[in-house]
Amino acid sequence: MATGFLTDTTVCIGCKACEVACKQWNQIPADGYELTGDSYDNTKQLSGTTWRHVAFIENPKKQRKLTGDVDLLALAEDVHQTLPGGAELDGLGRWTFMSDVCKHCVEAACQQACPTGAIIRNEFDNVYIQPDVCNGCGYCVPACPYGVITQVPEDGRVFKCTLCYDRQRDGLEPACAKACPTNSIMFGDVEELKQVAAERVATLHAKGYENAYIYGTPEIGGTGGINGDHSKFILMDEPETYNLPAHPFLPQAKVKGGFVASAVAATVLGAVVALAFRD
Amino acid sequence: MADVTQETRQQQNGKIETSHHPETDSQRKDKYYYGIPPIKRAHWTWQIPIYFWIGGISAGVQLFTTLANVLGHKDEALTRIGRYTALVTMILSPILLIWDLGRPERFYNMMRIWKLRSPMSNQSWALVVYGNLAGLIAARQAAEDGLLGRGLLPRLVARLVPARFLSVLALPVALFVGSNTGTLLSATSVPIWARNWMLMGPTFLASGVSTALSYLSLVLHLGHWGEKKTHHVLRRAERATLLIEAGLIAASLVRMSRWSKPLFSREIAPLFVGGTLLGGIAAPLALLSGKETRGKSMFTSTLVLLGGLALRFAMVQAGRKSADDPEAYFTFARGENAPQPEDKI
Amino acid sequence: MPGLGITYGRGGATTSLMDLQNADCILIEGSNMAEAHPVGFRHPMIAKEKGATLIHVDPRFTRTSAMCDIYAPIRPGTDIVFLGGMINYVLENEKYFEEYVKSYTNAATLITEEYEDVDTTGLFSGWDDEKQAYDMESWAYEGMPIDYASVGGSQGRMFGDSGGGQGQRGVHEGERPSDETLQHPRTVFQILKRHFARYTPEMVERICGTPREAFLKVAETICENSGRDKTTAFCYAVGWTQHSKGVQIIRSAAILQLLLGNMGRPGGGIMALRGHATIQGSTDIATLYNILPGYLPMPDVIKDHDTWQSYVESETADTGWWNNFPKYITSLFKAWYGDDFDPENGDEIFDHFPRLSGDHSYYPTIMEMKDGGVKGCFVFGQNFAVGGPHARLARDALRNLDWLVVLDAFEVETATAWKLDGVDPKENGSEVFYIPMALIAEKEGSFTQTQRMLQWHDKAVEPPDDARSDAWFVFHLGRRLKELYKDSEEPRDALIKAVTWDYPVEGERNEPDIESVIKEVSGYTVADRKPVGGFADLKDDGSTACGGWIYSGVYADGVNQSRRRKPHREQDNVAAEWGWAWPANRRILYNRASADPDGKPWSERKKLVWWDEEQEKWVGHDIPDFQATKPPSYRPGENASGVDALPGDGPFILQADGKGWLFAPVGLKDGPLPIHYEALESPVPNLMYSQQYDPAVRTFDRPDNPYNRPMDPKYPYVVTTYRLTEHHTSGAMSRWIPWLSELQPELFVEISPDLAAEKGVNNAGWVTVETSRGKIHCKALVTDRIPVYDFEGKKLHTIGIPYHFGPNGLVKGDIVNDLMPVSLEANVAMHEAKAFTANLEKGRV
Ligand SMILES: Nc1nc2c(c(=O)[nH]1)N[C@H]1C(S)=C(S)[C@@H](COP(=O)(O)OP(=O)(O)OC[C@H]3O[C@@H](n4cnc5c(=O)[nH]c(N)nc54)[C@H](O)[C@@H]3O)O[C@H]1N2
Ligand SMILES: Nc1nc2c(c(=O)[nH]1)N[C@H]1C(S)=C(S)[C@@H](COP(=O)(O)OP(=O)(O)OC[C@H]3O[C@@H](n4cnc5c(=O)[nH]c(N)nc54)[C@H](O)[C@@H]3O)O[C@H]1N2
Ligand code: SF4
Ligand code: SF4
Ligand code: SF4
Ligand code: SF4
Ligand code: SF4
Ligand SMILES: [Mo]
Repeated sequence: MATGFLTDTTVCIGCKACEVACKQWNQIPADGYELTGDSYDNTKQLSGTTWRHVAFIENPKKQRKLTGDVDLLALAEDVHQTLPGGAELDGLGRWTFMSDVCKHCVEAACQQACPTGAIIRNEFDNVYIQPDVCNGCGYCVPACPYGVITQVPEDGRVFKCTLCYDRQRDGLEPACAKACPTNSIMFGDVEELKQVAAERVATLHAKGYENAYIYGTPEIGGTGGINGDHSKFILMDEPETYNLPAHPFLPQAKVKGGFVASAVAATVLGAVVALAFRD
Repeated sequence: MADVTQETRQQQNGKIETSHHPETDSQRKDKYYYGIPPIKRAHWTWQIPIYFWIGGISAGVQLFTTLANVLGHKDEALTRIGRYTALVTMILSPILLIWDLGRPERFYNMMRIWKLRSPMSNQSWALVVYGNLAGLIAARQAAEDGLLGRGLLPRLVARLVPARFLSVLALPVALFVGSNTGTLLSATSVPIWARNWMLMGPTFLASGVSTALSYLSLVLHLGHWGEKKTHHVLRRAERATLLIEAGLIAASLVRMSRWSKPLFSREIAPLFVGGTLLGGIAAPLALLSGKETRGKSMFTSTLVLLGGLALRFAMVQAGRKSADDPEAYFTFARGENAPQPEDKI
Repeated sequence: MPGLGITYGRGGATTSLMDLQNADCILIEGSNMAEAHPVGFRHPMIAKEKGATLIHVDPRFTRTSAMCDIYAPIRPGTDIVFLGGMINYVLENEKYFEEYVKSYTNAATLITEEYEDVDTTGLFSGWDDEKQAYDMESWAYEGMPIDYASVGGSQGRMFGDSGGGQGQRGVHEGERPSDETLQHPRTVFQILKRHFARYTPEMVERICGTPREAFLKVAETICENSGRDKTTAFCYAVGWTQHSKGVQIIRSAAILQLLLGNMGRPGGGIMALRGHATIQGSTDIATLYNILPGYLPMPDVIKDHDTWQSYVESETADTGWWNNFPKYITSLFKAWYGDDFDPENGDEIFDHFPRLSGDHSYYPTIMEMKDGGVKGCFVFGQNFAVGGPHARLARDALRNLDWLVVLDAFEVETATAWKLDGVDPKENGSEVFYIPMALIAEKEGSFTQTQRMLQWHDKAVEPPDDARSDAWFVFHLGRRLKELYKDSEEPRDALIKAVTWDYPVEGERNEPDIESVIKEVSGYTVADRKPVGGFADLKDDGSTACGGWIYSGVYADGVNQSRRRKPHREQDNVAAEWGWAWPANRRILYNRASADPDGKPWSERKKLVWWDEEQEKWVGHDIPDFQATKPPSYRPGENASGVDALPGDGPFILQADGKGWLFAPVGLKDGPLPIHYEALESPVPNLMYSQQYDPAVRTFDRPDNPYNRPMDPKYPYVVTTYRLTEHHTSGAMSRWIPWLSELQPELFVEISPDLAAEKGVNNAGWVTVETSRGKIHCKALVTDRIPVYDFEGKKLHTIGIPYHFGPNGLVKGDIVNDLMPVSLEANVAMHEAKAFTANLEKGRV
C-alpha cells in the first residue's frame, strides 16, 4: 500500500501546528529569527531544516469571495457607494494558508538523480532519504521540481520530509497530520485519498467554488512528467500563487536524449579532428 | 481628512507597500510567493566548474592523442603528454568532486549502485573506468620512461599493458566524461540548463576539445616539444572546433531563449561574453588566422583555456541565478517544456 | 463571568466545544477562535463541513475571519450596539422563539414602578452621583424588595471572574406579578423592547462602523438558524471581556440567546472560551480572593458574617439552588479542618477564619505594592511584569517589595524586574527568590478546560534538577509551617494547627499524591472516608466533607472520573465518558430547556433530554440539568423551599425563579440591562447617550496612571491588543522556544495601508506607538485586514498589537502593556486591553 497526504487548503487555519510538530518530532533546529513582513510567514520556504511549511497568502481584494458560502464581498462592493462618508469594507477578502511538504512524487526526480542510492522508495512507497548513505553530493537539490530537498550546510547532507517513516513503522500517523486540528492534513492510503480529494473538490464545486482543484494528479494539471504526487493538495488559486510550478516535469526524462546528442557531437568532433590530420 | 475619496486614498495607498501577497500588491517588488525561489539551486562551489573544465580537457586530450595514434601520426612527446595528462586529470577530478561533497568521507557510496538515469551516477562510474584505464596507460608510459625503476614489475607493465588498445577503449568513456558534465546540468529543474538539454553535452564536449587542443599546444610549446606536424594539426583542429563550439553556443542561446538571461546579467556577462565569447572564442579565432609564432600561439591557447574555464563558471553561475528566479521557473514550467497531462515519458 | 451568571445562574460556558458540531450557525464575536483556540476550532470547522454557517465579527480580519462564511468588521468596544441591534431586530421583526421566551425567561415578569427607562443621559434609575454607584432598589421585580446581601451568596461573588448563581428570598411562584400576554408596559418584555428600540441598523452602522448590509446579513442568518428546529451557538473570549463594560457585552449576548431560544439546546448556548489551560479550574477552586471553592462567598467584615450561624443563614437563599448553601459550606470546612470543625460549634474555627476587609483584587494589590503597603509576594505561574496592564507600573511595584518569590520554569521578566528598565539593582532593596517549577509533563494533575471539563494528565518525566511541582512547594511549605506552629498556644494560630494537611507523599522527592487531593475535593463521608457520589450526597451536619462542591462526584465510586479517555468513536456525540465536567458531568447546562414546557423535545433534530412518562423521570443523551423526577407539570406549593420551590418548567435551576433573566433585577453594578458606552479611552463621543463611558467603571487617578482623555487629539487611534497562535500570553512560555520564536520573531503593529500612507510608514518599517503611560517601538505590518472605520464622515484608524513580547528570551520586543492604563470593569475588575487610545509615528522616536 502506498501512503501519502492530502492537504486541503480550504480548511487550513494557518495555525502552523504541523510545522512545529514536524520540527519537534524530528528535532530540527529553528532557522533564525527575522520578521519578513510577508503576511504571517516568517519561515518562508521548505528547506533541509523545515520539512513542513505553512504559506500565507494575504489576498484581500482580488478574490471577491470568502472561503464560505456567502458572497459577502460582492455585497460589499455595492456597499461602497451606499455607506455614509464613503467608508470602505477594507480588510474583507481572502487569506489563504497552505501547508506545503515534499510531494513524494510517483516518479521522484530526487531519487532518480541520487548517485548513491541514498534516496529510495520505502515499503510505504514514500520517497525516503537514508541518512546513513547520503554523501551530500547535492545533485538531488536542483533536480527536485518543487524545491523541496535541500542541503543543510552544517551537516553536509540533504534532508526533507521522511513522511515520518519512523512513526509509520510503529503504526502511527505522521506528526504533522496528527497535530493538525482541522484535518487539513489527511494521511492515508493514496488510493483512498484520491477518492476523498475527488469528493471534496466535487463538494466545493457544488458550493460554487469552481476554481477548486486537486494539485498532484496526472489527470489534473500537468504533473504528467512525474506521474503525479503521493502528497496532493486541494487548491483554489493558480499553483504559482503558492510557489508551486503549474506543470512540474521530470528532468531525467531528457537524459537519454542528451546522451544521444552528445554521442553525435562526439562523432562529429572526432571526425573534424581526424580531418585535421589530413596532409 | 473627512472626505478623502476612494481614489485619492488609493493613490496614497499606491505608494505604500503592504504585507499582502505580491499578486494583490502592485507595490511589492517581488513576484509570485514573495519572490522566494520555488526551486533550490545547487550548492556547488568553485571545485565543480574547475572539475568540468579539467574533465573536458581530459576528454579532448584523449580524443586527439588516440586519433593521432590510430591515424599513424607518431609523436612521442604528444603521446607522453596525453597519457600523463589523462592520469593527472583523473586524479584531480575525483579530488575536486569529493572535496565538494557534504560528507566527503562517504564518497565511496557513489559506488554502491549504478543508475543509468542519473548522470551523476554515470559520471562517477565513467570516472572510475576512465581513471583506471588512464592509470594503466600512464603506468605503461611511466615504465617505458623508466620512471618506475628497473624491477620486474615495471618491465612486465611495459610489456604487457596494451596501451594502444586501452586508449581506444578509453576514448568513448573519456568523451562521455567530457559531454556528460553538460548533460548532468541539463538533467535538473533549473530552467536555463534543462531548457538546453539537447545541446548542453555537445557544447561542453566541443569546449572540452577546444580547450584540450589549446592545452596540448601550450604544453608542447612550453617544452619546445612536438613535431611540426603536430603543431600544424593542432592549429587546424583548434580553429575547427572553436567554430563548432561557437555554433553550439549560438544554438544553445537560441534554444535557451528568454531563460538565457542570467548569462547576460551584470555579474555573469563579463565572464560569459567577455571571457568565453570574446576572449575564449572570437579573439583566438582571429589570432589563429594570422601568421603563426610560438608566442602568439601560446597566448592564443591560454585564451582558449581561460575561455573554457569561464564558460564552466558562467554556466554554473547562470544556473544559480536561473534557479533563484521564480519568473524563470514558472514560465518554464508553463511553457512548451511542460509535459502535458497526456504525455507518457 | 457574571454576564452569564446573572442571566442563567452559572458563570461557566453553557455548552461544550464538541456540541458546536451540532450548530446550524455559529457566531464568533469577541474571540479570534482559530488563532487562540485552534484545537477547539476544529469543531466549528466540522459544523461548517456539515453545512453550518460561520460568522466572525471582529475589528480585524483574522485567521478566524478567513475561515468564516460571513465576516463583519466592528470598531473595538462597540459590541453592545451590535448585539443590541440584533436584539432590536429580533424584537421588531418578531423573530424570537415565542413559546420559549414566555415559558423559560422572565419576559412576563413585572418590574417595579420605580424603574424608569433610560433616557439620553445613559444612566439607569437609582444612580447616586455622590457614591458614583447605583442603588438597585428600582430594578426589582414588582412586590419583591431585594435583599442584596442574599443574592448569589453575597455581593462578593460578583468580583469573581465566574459569578456563581444567585437566589432571592421569598420569590414564590404565583407571588410574582406577571403578564403572560407580554403586553403590560412594565413587563420585562416591553421594557426590553423600549430599551433596545434605539439600537437600529443605522445606529449600528454609525457607531460600530459595520456596514448595514453586513449587520443585517448577520442578523438574518442568525434568526434563520434559530428556533424550534435550528440552533445557533455563540463563541466569545476576551475580545468581549477586556472592556470597561465587558460584563454587559456578554449580557447582551445572553439576552439574545434567550430570545432566540438557543439556551440549553444542542448546537446552541454560549461558549465562553477560557484562556489558560486551567483558568476555569482556578476560578472554580478559587484562586480569587473573594470566593471560596465552588463560588461560595468569602466571609466579609461588612456583612452579617460575625458568627458561623449568621454567616450560614445570611448566605442561604429560600428558593433555588442556593438553599443548599449550608451543606456545601459545612462540607468545605469539614474537608479543611477535619475533626477540629464541628458545625454545631462552628465558631471555634470560624472565629479565626479570615474575613474580607476590602478590595484585594489584583490591581489594587499592585498599587499597594508600589505604594509600599505590600511587603512580600509569591508569584506562581504569572508574568505580570509583561502581561499585566500598565506593566511598567507593575514592574515598579515589584521593585518596591522587600521580598519576592517567583516560581516559574523560565526566567520571566517578573523575576528579573530588579534589573530591567535601566534601573540600578542596588537602588531597589527587594530580595528575589527564583524557584524552578515543573511544567505540565513533569507532574500529574487535572486541568479544568474551557467547557468546565476536568481532564487528568499523568507525569511523563521527572522534572529536571531542582525543579519541583507547585503542589510539592505548597505542601511542604504548609507542612513546615504546621511543624513550626505545632506547639503554639496563640489563638491566632488555631487555623494552622487545625488544618488537615495529611496528603500522602510518594517517590524520592516526596511529591504529594495529587489523587488524594482530587479525592478530597470530590468529597467523602467522614465516618468511613468513602467517596460521595455527588453534591446531592452532601450534608450540613458535618457527616460529609467536600473540598469543592461543584466538583463533587469527580471521584465517585473511588474512580478518578477525570481520567477517563474513552475515544469518541466508542460513544455518542455527548462523549460523557471522556473526562468529567462539572456539575455532575453535565455537558450542556440548562438542558431542561431542550424540551418544551411539557417535557417533549422541541424537535426531533434538536432532541437532548426529555420527560419519560413511563419511567417518570428525565432521560436523554446528556445528564439532565434538573431534578431527575420532577415532572413538567410540577408546581411548587406555598411553603416550598429550595429547588422544590421551582416549577417543573423552570430550566434555570440556579435562579430563584427558575427563569432566564432578560432583565437582571439585581446583581450587576452597572445596570439591569446593557447599554452602550464608549471605552474609557475613546477618540470619539458616545453618539447614543451623554454618558461617555460606563459610569461604574473603577479608575485609579494617580500620577503614574494617567488616562488619555476621551477625544484627545494627541491620541487619535484606537489600539486593540491580542494573541497570535504562535505565542502564549506574556510570551513566557513561547519566547524561549526556538520553534515558536522563529514563527513570530518580532513585535509588530498591524495598521491599514491608509494609516501607513498618511504616516509614510512602509511595511516592516519601524514605528513608535505612544500613550500617556509609555511608548514602544516595533515594526509595522501594513495590511488591509485592518479596516478603516468611518465615524461621522471621518476616518478612524485602529491599530492592532499582539502583546507577547518582552526583554527576556530568544526573541525580544518592547512590552506592549506599558501602553495600557489600569481601569477596572465594575463587576469583575477586568482591565480594558481591547480598546484604548494612542498615537503612532514613523520611525523610532
Ligand atoms: N495561541 C494562543 N492561544 C491562546 C492564548 C495565547 O496567548 N496564544 N491565550 C489563551 C488565553 S489566556 C485567552 S484569555 C484566550 C483569549 O482568546 P481570544 O479572546 O480569542 O484572543 P485575543 O487575541 O485576545 O482577542 C480576540 C479577538 O478580539 C478582537 N477584539 C478586540 N476588541 C474587540 C471588540 O471590541 N469587539 C469584538 N467583537 N472583538 C474585539 C481582536 O481583534 C481579536 O481578534 O486565548 C487562549 N489561547
Ligand atoms: N494587552 C493585553 N494584556 C493582556 C491580555 C490581552 O489580551 N491584552 N490578556 C490577559 C489575559 S486573558 C491573561 S490570561 C493574562 C496572562 O498573563 P500571565 O498569566 O501573566 O502570562 P503567562 O505568560 O501565561 O504566564 C504564565 C507563567 O506560568 C509559567 N508556568 C507554566 N506552567 C507552570 C506551572 O506548572 N507552574 C508554575 N509555577 N508556573 C508555570 C509560565 O512559564 C509563565 O511564566 O494576560 C492578560 N494581559
Ligand atoms: S518533491 Fe522533490 S524531494 Fe520530494 S519526492 Fe519529489 S523530487 Fe523528491
Ligand atoms: S545529496 Fe545525498 S541524497 Fe542527494 S543525490 Fe547526493 S547522495 Fe543522494
Ligand atoms: S510527515 Fe513527518 S517528516 Fe514529513 S512533514 Fe510531516 S511531520 Fe514532518
Ligand atoms: S496544522 Fe493543519 S490547520 Fe494548522 S497550519 Fe498545518 S495544515 Fe493548516
Ligand atoms: S495550546 Fe493546548 S489548549 Fe491551546 S489549543 Fe493547543 S491544545 Fe488546545
Ligand atoms: Mo486569559
